[in-house]
Parts: sequence; C-alpha cells; structure tokens
Amino acid sequence: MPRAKFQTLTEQMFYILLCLKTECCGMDVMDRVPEMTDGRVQVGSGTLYNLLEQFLDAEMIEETRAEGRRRSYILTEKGREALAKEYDRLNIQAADYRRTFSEEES
Amino acid sequence: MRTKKTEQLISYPFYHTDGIARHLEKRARQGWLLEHTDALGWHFRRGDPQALHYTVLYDPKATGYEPEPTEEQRTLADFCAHGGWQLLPTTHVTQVYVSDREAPTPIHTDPVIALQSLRRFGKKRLLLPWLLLVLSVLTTGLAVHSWRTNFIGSLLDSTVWLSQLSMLVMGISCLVYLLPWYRYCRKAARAAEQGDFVSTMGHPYLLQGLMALFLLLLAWHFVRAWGTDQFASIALHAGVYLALTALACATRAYLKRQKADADTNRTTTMAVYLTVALLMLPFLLAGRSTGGTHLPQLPGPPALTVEQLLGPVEGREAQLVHDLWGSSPALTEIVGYDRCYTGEEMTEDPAQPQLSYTQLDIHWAPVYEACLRDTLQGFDWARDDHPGLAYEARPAPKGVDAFYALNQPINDSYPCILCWEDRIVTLYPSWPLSEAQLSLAAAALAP
Repeated sequence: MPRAKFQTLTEQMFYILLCLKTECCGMDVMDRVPEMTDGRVQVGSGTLYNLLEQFLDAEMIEETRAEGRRRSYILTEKGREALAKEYDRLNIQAADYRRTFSEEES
Repeated sequence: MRTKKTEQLISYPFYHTDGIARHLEKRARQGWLLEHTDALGWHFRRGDPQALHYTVLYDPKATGYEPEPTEEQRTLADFCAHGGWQLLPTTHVTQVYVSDREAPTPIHTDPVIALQSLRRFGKKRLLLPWLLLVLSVLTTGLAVHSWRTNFIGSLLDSTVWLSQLSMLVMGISCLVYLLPWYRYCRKAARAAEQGDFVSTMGHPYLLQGLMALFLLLLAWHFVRAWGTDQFASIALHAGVYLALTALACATRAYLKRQKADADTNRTTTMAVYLTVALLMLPFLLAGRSTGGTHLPQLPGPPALTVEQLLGPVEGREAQLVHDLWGSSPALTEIVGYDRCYTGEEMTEDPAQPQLSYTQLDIHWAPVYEACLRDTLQGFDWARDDHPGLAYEARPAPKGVDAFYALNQPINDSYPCILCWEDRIVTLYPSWPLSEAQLSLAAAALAP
C-alpha cells in the first residue's frame, strides 16, 4: 500500500521544517540546514522550492511575510505535529537499536 | 574564426537532462558557452574554455506563450541564484542553469521531487511521440497487408514503399524515444525509495542516425518524384506546411514582444494558423497530384497483336495501346492492348478477337518467386470461385521456362502465363490459343 504523503519525513523535509520553527525566509533555509548539520545535509534550491510549495499545500507551514519575491514562513500546528511524530519515530528506532545491541552484549 | 554557432539538440530526448547537461559541459570545456535557447535552437558563443556545471529543468505549467518568466519561475530562479546557479535566457518551458562553482550543491537533492517534476512535464510531452507511434503502427500494418495481397502493385510504386519505409523508421524512432523513458521512470522510482538518484538515459546517437535515415528517405522520395506532377504536389504541401509553421512562430514571437498574456497569445496564434490553413486548403486540393507518377506511353505498337496471331482480320479496327504501367528499381510493368470497340458506348466488340497482356520485367531476382505467386493468385481466386476450373496440363512453348493456363475461360478470356528467367507475361486472348499461336506469342514476348 503506498505510503501517505509526509507519513515519514526525509532528512531534508525534517530539517526544513525544523528551520521553520522560527520565522525564516525560504532562501535562508538553504544556508541554515547545512549549518545545523555541520554540512551533512544539503538542500538543493529546486528541492527546497518544491518542498516549500508542498508544505504550504499540506498546511504544514504558512507564509508570514512577503517582501517582493522574498517570502518568509513558519511552522503551523500541523507542521509541528508532523515533526513531533517523526521525532518519536526516530526515537523508537534509536531505542530499538540500543535494545538490540545491549541484548547482544549481555 | 567563428564566434557564434547554433546547435539543434533534437536527438536528445527531453528526459535525458543528464545527457544534455554533459553535452553543454563538454562544449564549455571546448570554449563554446551556451548563450541562450529559443525556438531556432541552442545558441553558443566563443569564450574561454571553462569547467562549468549545467542543469536542465522543465516547468510543466509553462506553455511557451508567456511574454516573460512567471512569478513562480522568477522565485525558483532566485532560489537557484542563492545556491550559485544562474538562469540562462531560455524558452521558459526549458530552463538551463549554469554554475561556475567547483562543486555546487545540485538543484535537486531529493530524487523523489526530481522524478515528480520530470514526470509532470513528461505527461504533455509524450503525447506527440505516442500519436506518431500509433500512426506508424497503423500505416505499417496497412503496408504489410498491401504487400501480402498485392505484392506486384506495392513493389511497382517506389514512392509508396518509400513512404511506408519512412513511416516505419519514424515508428522505430518513437520507440527509441519512448522505451528509455519508461525504463528510466521505473528504475528512478525504485532508487528514489532508497533516496538514490539514477542518471537519465537516452540514445541520442541512435536517434540521430534514425532521423538522418528518415531525412534521407524523404530526400530520395523527392528525387524520385522529380519531373513529375507528384513532385509539384509534394513541394506545394511542404511549402505550405513550412510557411504555416513560420507564420505561427512569427505570430507567437510578435505577441510575446507586445507582452500579450499567454492565453491571448495562444488563442491568437492558433486562430491565425487555422484561418490561413483553411484559406490555403483550396490551393492544396487543386494542386494535389491526380494519382501516381505519370509514365510515358512507349513508342511503337505492342509487342504482340491480334494480326501477328491470326493474320489480318476483315472489318477489324484495332485500338493499340503500349504503355509503361509502372516502374521501380525492382520491377517494370508494361501493358499492351489490341482491342476493337463498337457502339456509341465504345464497348469491346464481342464478334471480334481481343487481346491484351501484362509484361513484368523483374530486375531483382529475389522477388521473382513472390511476383509469380502474386500473378498466379488471380488464377487461384478464379478457381475458388469456379469449382470446375483447374490448371491445364500443357507443355510450355519453346523457349519458355514455365507455362500456366486454365482449362476454361474466365470472363470471356482465356488467360495464360508465360515465364522466363526475368520476365512474367500474362496473356488475355479472347479465344483459346493453338500451339502454333502460343509459340508465336512466346517468340514475340520473350526477353
């Protein structure tokens, strides 16, 4: 059965939403994500542009300001829930990992 | 030294963005920098060789009629500029970005998003190749049917089999265009689930070869038709098509310069195109070839006449015809008639002997057997319709390799077939030929 959209978030989706916890201009997200991840995660300009459109359509973010073509966004409640869900999922995975390897050691 | 040049990258399918980018990067290393693209092609200017990176994107919402980039396109260009990618002046539908950074962050870093974008654009773009493929399959199917049921007729008309071959080549080109797309989509979708990119695929050199072959066949078609009324018809149709295309492009370009919105531009351009096409239609119909290539009447009387077989017949006014019925590199067909007509309606006089024949000269030995089978098919059909009809066991006249005749007349005629190594003659006398008359006929018609 196909996965529902945004049921799980890719790394890029996750970090974009994380950046938008506070109001942020779309283009600045491109710089913040590598900063946040020590360069591990890069978001391409085309990917960022498309994902911001998709997040807007899914009402996970909302536009707060527009100065010409420079638009700023912020997370909505729905976006926070999606982030929280993903955080829980990752924690469960991490816990499963720790349990598995500690069982092995013991 | 040349400082500008234009290339047509038509052998690169739209989905082969990696191939197009690699081609542009190769040109940049050679000192040819892409300046802009438009309906006429990809325009390069001479510059210093550089190690540049290119990315090709498509806007599925763009129609090509927009006077300027849309807000969405400008916003995307701003994003890309922030990431070190500059948008080159392009057609808005196809966008080419260039970066001079050593290792720029790719514009697409999510393979799912990249594939989604390409697929959305592909939905519109693949309609034409599919239509052409269907057309090719239909025409090829009809051609196969035609060759099976009328081998000689098909072989005689080289313009027809040139057209059939052209359509077949076009169909193969469409397959070469379409198959890699679907293979790529499947592969890219599976890889995207794992977060991986797959390089786009295409066969530009194969497509180039097929397009060259298609153009060669068209050129041969023109050359074969040279000097005939068919050539004038083809030239007229081609001229009208080119003129209409140029008019549509000029209208679109003019309205773009006037900053007309996309919908107005598209509606007006199509209206102009259709109006002029309808106005040109009477000229096209008037200039249409009346059918086939006009071949000359051959000099002299037919090779065989009634008088040669029966001697002078009192009161018989013969109408002699000796025509080149068809000619191709493989085959030539000549018809000869010696007929006598009567009455106001000029019907064949039943009281007078009538004679006609069809002579097939085979220039290409491998098709001989097929031509003979096609000729005998007429006898076989007659035998199917008349149960008492059968092949007559008669020896072949002297000098003839094979001889076929039926034991009863068909439609007031006693047809027989005489075969030599490279000639097949079907004779239609209105009376049964004696052995002596057959020998005379064979001598007159032998190659």
